[in-house]
Amino acid sequence: MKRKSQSSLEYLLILAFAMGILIPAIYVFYSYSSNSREQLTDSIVMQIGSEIIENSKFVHYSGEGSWITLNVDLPSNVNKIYVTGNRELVFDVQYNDRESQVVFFSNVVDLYTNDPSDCYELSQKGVVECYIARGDAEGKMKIRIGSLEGKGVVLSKG
Amino acid sequence: MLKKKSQASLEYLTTYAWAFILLIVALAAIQYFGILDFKKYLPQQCIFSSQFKCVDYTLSGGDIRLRLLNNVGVKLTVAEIIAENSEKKEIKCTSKYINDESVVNVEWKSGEEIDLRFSGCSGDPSYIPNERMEVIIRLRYYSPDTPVRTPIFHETVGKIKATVT
Repeated sequence: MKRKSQSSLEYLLILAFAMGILIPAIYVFYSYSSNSREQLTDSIVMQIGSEIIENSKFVHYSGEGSWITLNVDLPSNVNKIYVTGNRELVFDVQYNDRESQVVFFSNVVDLYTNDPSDCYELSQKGVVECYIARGDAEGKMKIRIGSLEGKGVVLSKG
Repeated sequence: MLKKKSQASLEYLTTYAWAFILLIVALAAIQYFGILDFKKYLPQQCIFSSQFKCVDYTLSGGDIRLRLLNNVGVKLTVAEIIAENSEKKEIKCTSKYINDESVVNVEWKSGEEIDLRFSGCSGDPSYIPNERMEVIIRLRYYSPDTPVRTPIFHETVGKIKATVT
């Protein structure tokens, strides 16, 4: 009886020691990996946004009737993509504990979307958001950039 | 017979007592040298989007300070800065400064750095010296060059994970 209880106690002590090491190690690892995930999302969004702005210029200067389709792979935590003020392309990104915006400014070319019914005036007077994607913005998608009679470009989900 | 038994028990206990003393001394040494302080193995970081690179940061002397770089590629105007704790409650600080000036709507040119400072921050709700804390920084800005009647505000949200010194 005594021997049995001793071995149980030893077993419990070893287990407690192992847990004492393992649990903090898991927490430290999780902390590092969540930061890497945020950085990865950020760099993918930066790449997609810059690509859209650069290709918008290219399509605009290529003249009427020109268009290009981009194949992008959106991270799952991008909630919305929209255009405001015809010059700003906005990505709403949900990180672990906060939502943030990544904005790309088009200095030369006006940006439009192809569906005016998906535009909404915000509480901020005179500001209109026109959506390219929202809710369903995840995974592989095509973004079409087409020239608009010399006025700018139209962005749409292809 | 009884005497022999009690002697054996006493010897047994004495041996264990030494083992316990050694164990306690070892644990005290480990604690003293901070080996069990797992907080120091966690990274101290300032995380922002690469559009607003966090160049430097510190949480000390009641201040939250950070230096950000404008990587957006256009001139911006900073309208507001807010510091919150991890529960999204605003940290009570007596004043906020942008580039050492207590003003809002500060112009921020592309490629330039800007200093943000929250001073006189107190423990209510969560600025506690020697404690590790997460500060969420909200930066509201707009581009003055976007041709619209009213400015379109945007918000970038970053965070600092560090120990208050």
